[in-house]
Amino acid sequence: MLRRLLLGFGVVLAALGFAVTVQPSLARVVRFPPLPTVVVAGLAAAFALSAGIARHYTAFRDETDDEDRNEALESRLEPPRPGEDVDARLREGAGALGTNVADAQFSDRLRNVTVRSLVDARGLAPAEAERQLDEGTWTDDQAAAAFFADDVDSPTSDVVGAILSVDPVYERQAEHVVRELRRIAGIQGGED
Amino acid sequence: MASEETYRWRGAVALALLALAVGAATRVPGVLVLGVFGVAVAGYARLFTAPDPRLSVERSLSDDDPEPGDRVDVTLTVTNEGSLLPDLRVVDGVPEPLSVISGSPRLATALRAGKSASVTYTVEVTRGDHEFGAVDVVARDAAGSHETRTSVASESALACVPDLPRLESFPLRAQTVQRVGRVPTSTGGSGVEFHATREYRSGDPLSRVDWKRLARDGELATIQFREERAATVVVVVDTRDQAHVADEDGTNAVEYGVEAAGGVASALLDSGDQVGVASLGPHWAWLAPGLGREHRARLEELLARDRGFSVSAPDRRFLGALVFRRLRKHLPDDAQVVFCSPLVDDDAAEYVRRLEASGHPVTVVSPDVTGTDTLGQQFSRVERAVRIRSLRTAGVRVIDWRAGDSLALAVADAERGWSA
Repeated sequence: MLRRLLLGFGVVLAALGFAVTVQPSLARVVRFPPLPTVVVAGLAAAFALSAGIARHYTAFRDETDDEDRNEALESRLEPPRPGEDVDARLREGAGALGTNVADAQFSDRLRNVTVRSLVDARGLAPAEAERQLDEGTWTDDQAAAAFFADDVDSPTSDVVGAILSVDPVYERQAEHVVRELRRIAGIQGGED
Repeated sequence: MASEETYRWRGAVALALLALAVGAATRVPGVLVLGVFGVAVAGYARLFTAPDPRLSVERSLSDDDPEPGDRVDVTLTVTNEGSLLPDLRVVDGVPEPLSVISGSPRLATALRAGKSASVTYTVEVTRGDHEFGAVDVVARDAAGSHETRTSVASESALACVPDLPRLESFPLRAQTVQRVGRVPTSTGGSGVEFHATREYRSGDPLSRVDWKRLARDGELATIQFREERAATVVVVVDTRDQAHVADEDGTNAVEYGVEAAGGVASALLDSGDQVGVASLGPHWAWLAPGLGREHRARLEELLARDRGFSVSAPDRRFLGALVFRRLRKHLPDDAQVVFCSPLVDDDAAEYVRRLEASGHPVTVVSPDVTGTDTLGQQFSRVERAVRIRSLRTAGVRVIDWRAGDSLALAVADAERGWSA
């Protein structure tokens, strides 16, 4: 590109020079500007354009290449806390729309643990535990019951709370289920 | 060694040339001077070539036989054996499991020929063999337009082999080999605990004659004690990726598992049982059951230094079925298993069930690293509690060890629960 530009520029200048040599009076007609200034400015502009284009297409090294290693240099490398995967899913908005895969996986996991808890702690048959979950009769906590049962609605206070806060209804219901499970599994004193 | 242009002046060159063009066209001296200056700087940057760093590196450690938790000062000295290096950046290869708690393993300096520069930082030592990696170096010319990246090898290692933790005793399940030990059996014989009396037979030692019965009823009877035999035990540590989870202090559950394995092995070896150890994870490790001082030392070394018991995250895939089959193949027929796992996933409980079903009585030592700060942590705690309950229902003994508490206390608590 630059070469062609320079070539064209050179050809025009050579032609003008030749013409002025043959017919000197032509110089008065054309009224040349101060030639060295124009040449310097033109060349500088051409080189500037060339450098700008070259910079645009330069593959600079990615500044984040060494970030992972550098970040771990001084800080202690700690494994995740148990349950971090669940928290990450909830942070990503699991259940906000109620249709994504992660949401379904978490719901299935919660359901599975709840059934096992009811089987172990209350001596229910798995089918009976499933039925109680579907009907919402496994707990007195309406919000927890609503997590698994379609026919049970969350308490109004919870729905209003969810609207006013950033926690979606899904997460609030899941919190209630976990709280109930902690009680059933004996982590919070156990059931009477 | 890799050298490359940084292109850091390319944008400046374009701007300088543009200023030169504008200055020449408009004949404004200030703009023209600015352009000329920019072009001069760019020309100056072009004069340099990529530096060729010739460095020697020396690393010294303040302690060569530290205990876990000790602080060791690491001093890295870099000497320039080549020409002037106007911009030198150095990063030491700190082993992944060691955390830098003071100072920094980075150094940025200009270094004249023959001169040295040092940096000192402090690491907190953890169990195992820790090899320092090569020192990464980046050298740039004075204008920063060329840089050379290289690494300089410097071999240093920090070994931390702690003694096996002390544990007074560890309760085992019934199922023992024909060797005198301390696991009570249902067979009468020599021992300390009363088992039954039987009719006196010629040759029975006089010390075992039931003199009270002779005085009371006039019958000659011999007292039999509950025979105590030794057990063969394999302590299996769960080192799968799933077991690499931390408690609130950031301590890895695998570290607790190894501590439990050491304590259990120590107690059982002291009482004359044969103890082996295995790692159930991507990095297989195995020591067949054995006895004696040498075996104890081997076990200590293995737990401290083998990659299979390292707290570093596994760097290969865990082929569960294959590793479990290998474990089953290695287990002696009469071996009991002590499984050390945080039980944070269903697979861990499944392995326990399968071991139990294959005729190896299992006792689980489970460090509890779950928390209650977030919904996920609470859920994980519930899941673990359900797994423990389910295993106990299936007849498996589980020692629920709250991380941070003493293992001896957890064992004593569990033992009280079993005998109640």
